[in-house]
Amino acid sequence: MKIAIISDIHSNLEALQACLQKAASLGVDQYACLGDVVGYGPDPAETLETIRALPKLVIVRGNHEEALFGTYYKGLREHIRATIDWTREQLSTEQREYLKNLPYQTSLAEFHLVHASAKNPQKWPYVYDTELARDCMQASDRRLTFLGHTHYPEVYYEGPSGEVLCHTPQAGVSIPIYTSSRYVINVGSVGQPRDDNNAASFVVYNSAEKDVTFHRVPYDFSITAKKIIDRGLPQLFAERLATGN
Amino acid sequence: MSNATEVHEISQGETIDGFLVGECIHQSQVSSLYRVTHPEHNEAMIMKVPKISVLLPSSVFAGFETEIRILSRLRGAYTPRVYAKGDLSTCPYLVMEYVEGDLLQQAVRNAPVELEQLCQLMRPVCRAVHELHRHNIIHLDLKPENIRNRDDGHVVVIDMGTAHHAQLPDMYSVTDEQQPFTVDYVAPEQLFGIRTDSRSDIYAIGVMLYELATGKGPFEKANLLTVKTRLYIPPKPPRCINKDIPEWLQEVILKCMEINPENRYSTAKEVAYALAHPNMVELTERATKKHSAGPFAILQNWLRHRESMFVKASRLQPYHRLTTAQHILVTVKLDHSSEELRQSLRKEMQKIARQETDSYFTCLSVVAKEATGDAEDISDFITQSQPRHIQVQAELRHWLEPVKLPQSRLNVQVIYGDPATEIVNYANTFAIDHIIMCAHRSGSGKKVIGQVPEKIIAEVNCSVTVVRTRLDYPEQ
Repeated sequence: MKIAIISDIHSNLEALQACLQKAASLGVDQYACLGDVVGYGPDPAETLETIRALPKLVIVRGNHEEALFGTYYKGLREHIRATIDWTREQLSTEQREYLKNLPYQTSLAEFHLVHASAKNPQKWPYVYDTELARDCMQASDRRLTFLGHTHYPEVYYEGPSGEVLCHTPQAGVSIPIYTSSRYVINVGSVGQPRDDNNAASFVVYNSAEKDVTFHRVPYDFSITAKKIIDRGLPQLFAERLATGN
Repeated sequence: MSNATEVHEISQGETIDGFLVGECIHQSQVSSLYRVTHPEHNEAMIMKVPKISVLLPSSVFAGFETEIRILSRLRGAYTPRVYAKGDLSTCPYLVMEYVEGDLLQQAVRNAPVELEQLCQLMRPVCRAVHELHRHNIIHLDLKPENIRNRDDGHVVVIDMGTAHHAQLPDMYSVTDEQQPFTVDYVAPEQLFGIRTDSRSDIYAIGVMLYELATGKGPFEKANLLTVKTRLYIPPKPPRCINKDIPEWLQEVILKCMEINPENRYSTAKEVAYALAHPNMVELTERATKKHSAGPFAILQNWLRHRESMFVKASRLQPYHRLTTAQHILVTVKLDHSSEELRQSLRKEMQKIARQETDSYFTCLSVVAKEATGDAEDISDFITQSQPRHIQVQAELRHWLEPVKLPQSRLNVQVIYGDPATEIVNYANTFAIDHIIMCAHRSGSGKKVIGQVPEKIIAEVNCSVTVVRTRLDYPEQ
């Protein structure tokens, strides 16, 4: 079975559609979404509905979903808060209710899914080095954990000596998941990549081969950027789609 | 493995997924090798089964997984073919082709060997290592035991358990003290935990060449305590041990075994090429070295060859390193090309030589058999063929003079035979990266590039640039 794992879509419908098209061409059977469906981008309602329609969807909450309702909102910078306010208005009551009820984390048979880290997920820590990855590994109830949040595709894994190592993945190269190791895999961002590559990022886990492949999908970001500006959202969010950082 | 009790360790007499497990042919601390048969496979096969024990370091199982993952990614041209693998969490095994021949191991046992035998044995080894590097794999434990031969002599590299794949997460970090290696063949940088330099494999090739040429290892009594001396003591020049070794071979061996990877050959196929074309080997002071390094040289090395030198050595994925030292084949037919066309060909060579400063060229002219003279009988043919060969070489050298390439970057060869067949053979034998050739316009103008170029383009395994002269534009 092939499972596509997407994260940090941020209301970017064009990037999402490009990824879904790619996933379909790869024969993906199931979809998992690691949260931050909304925020930053111009199409929250359409993006959410597209994701909800995906086959066998498993979805967890991101900090941008939490910001719509919770105390997390107060700690945000003003321009992000303004976008969250705008996003809340675009969503129906039913959609808001759906997002409100998303879990922080969940596990399938072979892997764990969380937006930020399996350690204190409700505090939204960033996993950006091997120490933080080790914390997440130890808190996770599976040997393989997928997460997002930083918008950087990375593979953290445990070497035979117990040391946690980091590997920057190359798109299209399948990465074997060793039975003898533990992994924390950051799937990158669909809607707002920040690793100096403006192509949308997602991964496919192949349960038969026990491997993970990162995919980078170029899309016409100028359409999304124009919508961001037309809807009066901060220009910065449009610009970073072009630069990918 | 987290829970060894759940994992089944296969033993002789069992049938697993249709494979009947036969005699155990090799046991080590970490794995067992069994002969296996299967009703649907006639080939000779072996099953590798890792030892399951909580006492073994987890690197053992990681090594087994690495071997499975790497072999499964290759098509088995230069590595054993994979037939089946078991579920790693319940019943781990790997069934692969049994490659029985151990020509290199035998030769090393009987070393020193004749020069011709040495070249014949090691050229395909270098080629096989080159193919691994082309797939971004660095073996890191090359030694005669890991070089096997199929029945037809074809070289197969085995034991990928410690290999590094440049595009995949590596199981060892630089600081990891569990990194496995074989003391006799390990490259200096590997002693600092560096696993990302494909030239570590070139070093091991150098050690094997040394053993074949001299009958001795370059570092006598190498062990875990003395292994670090290779960081500053270069090997004794092979000609000190065996005076019959030609200077060019000493040059090749010592260049492979340079302490600094930057001073070694960049690619294994360059070593293969040197073994096939001794005239091409540029002799430096390495070739004529007569003594082991003195205390002053050792001190100098000791001061110079610190860890930082190895860390600083250019980091390139193996595949990208191969592209920095491109081997270009230039095919010329002097009597059929106009000066304008030759000039275009030289310009193309100069362009590549300037851009790719590590590239090297072979200029090949194939002389058709019928063109060797009006021979009426075989003796005439023989007597006339030799001068013709030399004459063409001289003409080629003269023609290539304006390109201004040093001897080490330009070889000139004349071969008799059918041009297209010979060029294709040569390109495939020496893993040529790029061919530059001329297209001759036929009188009728109907043929687009000509039969010879067409056949070459269709059959070679590399890029081809076709150089042609421009026709005058017709008047508008």
